[in-house]
Amino acid sequence: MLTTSNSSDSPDSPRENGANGGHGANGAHGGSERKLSGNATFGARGNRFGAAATQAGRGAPTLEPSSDDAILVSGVSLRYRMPTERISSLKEQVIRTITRRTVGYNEFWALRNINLRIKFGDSVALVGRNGAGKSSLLKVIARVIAPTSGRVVVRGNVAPIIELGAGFHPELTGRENIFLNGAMLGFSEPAMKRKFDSIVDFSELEAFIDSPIRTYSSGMTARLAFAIAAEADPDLLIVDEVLSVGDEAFQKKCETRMVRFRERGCTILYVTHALDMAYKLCERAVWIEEGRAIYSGPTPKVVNLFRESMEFESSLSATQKRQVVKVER
Amino acid sequence: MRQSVPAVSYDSARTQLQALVEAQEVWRYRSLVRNLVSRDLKVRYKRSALGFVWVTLNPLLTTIVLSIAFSYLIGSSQPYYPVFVLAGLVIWNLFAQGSVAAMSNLVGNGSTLRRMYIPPSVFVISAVGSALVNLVFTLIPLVLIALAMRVPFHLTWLYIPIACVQVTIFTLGVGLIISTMSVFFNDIYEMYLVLITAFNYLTPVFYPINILPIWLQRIEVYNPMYLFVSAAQTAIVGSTVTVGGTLVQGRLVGGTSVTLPPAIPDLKVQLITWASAFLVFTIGWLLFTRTEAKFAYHF
Repeated sequence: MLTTSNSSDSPDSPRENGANGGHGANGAHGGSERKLSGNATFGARGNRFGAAATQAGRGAPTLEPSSDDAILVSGVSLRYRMPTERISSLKEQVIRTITRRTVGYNEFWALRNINLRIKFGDSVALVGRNGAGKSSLLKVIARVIAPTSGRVVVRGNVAPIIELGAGFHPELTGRENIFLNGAMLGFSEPAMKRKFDSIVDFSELEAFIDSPIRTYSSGMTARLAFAIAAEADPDLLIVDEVLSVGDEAFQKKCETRMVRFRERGCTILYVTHALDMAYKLCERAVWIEEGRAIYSGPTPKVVNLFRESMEFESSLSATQKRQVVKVER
Repeated sequence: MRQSVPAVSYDSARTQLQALVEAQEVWRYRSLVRNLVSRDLKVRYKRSALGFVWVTLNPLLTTIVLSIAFSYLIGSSQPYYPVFVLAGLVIWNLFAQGSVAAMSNLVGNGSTLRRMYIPPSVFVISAVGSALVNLVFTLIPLVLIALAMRVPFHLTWLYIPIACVQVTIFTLGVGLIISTMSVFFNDIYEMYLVLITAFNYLTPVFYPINILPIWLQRIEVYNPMYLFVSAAQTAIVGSTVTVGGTLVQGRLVGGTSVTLPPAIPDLKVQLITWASAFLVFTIGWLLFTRTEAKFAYHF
């Protein structure tokens, strides 16, 4: 089971332009005042710069954790602040402090008030176009980035495959990398020793296991990464579009494996652009658009809606697209 | 379905002190620390023909060069000069290598930390850990040279491991501080390399302290690195002091160098060394754990 309370932001709530310097249209953004029903009440407008985050952080999150949630994402927003001028050296910082010149920020809200409840044993696909915030959501759930506001609760151990080759060392052999990567996932060495043979079996890399990873193709690396995560037997598997590099036979194998995962009660969170895979693997899907979870439900329904919208968009000419955006605003 | 409900492994709203959370997580990831240390040693020495011999050879060569260069300058005032230098270098190298590696290790693993959760301090700890393993390897030639030069064995030799533990804790602290800064500012690395070289010359590592002017000697008492280094040196070959002589413009002239037998630091100095090691470590740990949530944006 999965619930999202869809956010219905006001038309002038933050878009990509964000607030630069002093003017803060972001007051309306906080997840705090949102009611469970999904009806939005908006915070005071015209807060000073930076007030948005504090305001959002103070209020009670919309969803309360319960013990059968594998993942709870409650009123989560994520803001990236990109300085208009990049200060990356201490020298510049010191000069700026002395001359009292401050830097403006361009804000970008990658996630806006996302509410998501994923029960144990659910398999959920995240769909959406490039840059919609799918990967940001995975990173917030995988504890890589703390949310700017809202709350994330995860139960059980997590095996994330967020990008290809994360946690691999190119100079080390496949064998050494299995132990290194296992340790990075938080597993002990004896545990990895027990799992070693089945990892090698699953990855079908017996012949190359003592060659350095830098000699592997991307398909081989993906196979090794998936094999480690799969054999690690996590409670929650997070997969971000890395299986597409493997060949068909291996994709098939991963599919079977993920189905078995599901049957065992393991929770799966899967980001993909290959919508057919989403159909096969996940009962539920969430459509992410501009940092919001705009639609959630059974996979066929969500995927069809998403597909239609994509097809509609690609049928439009550039001028028509601009008009649509105008109307939306 | 699974029988038992897994416990909460991550709650972004958890109000616990991050300094404690990080400590717990490091303990959970202790096998990663071990793995990173052995990986570091393997990668570093895999391709060099001499392999692990190189670990001991490097400070040994430095010792030989310094002995040739400085025995002329320092003359006979410091007996067993090569042992004196190597004892100092062992301690100094742990600090220098460990803190520099802490920086490059954390920043170098930024791409991993951007993709999966690992307590970031693991990379600082493992950097200092591999410097510590290197130190253990250099203790072997230290003992061998000491025996070859017929330095009489003294029970005070056993204080050297204690000095090593102190400098390890101190190095962890400095490594945490400097690596936190280097995440935010990319010129810290080069600046630190310059600073540490200057610091090396200002700390009596390859010369006895009594060749310094009096005012500098008084300042050195507050330099924790001098205290660690001289503790190791004094424990193995004793210390050299100047007796007699007259003060001319803050410098002793005409005194004679007298070598005191090996000894361990008095209680006051022992307390100061432990306190400074733990103080710097605590500052580093608090700074690191307070800012680590922002790391992901800067890698």
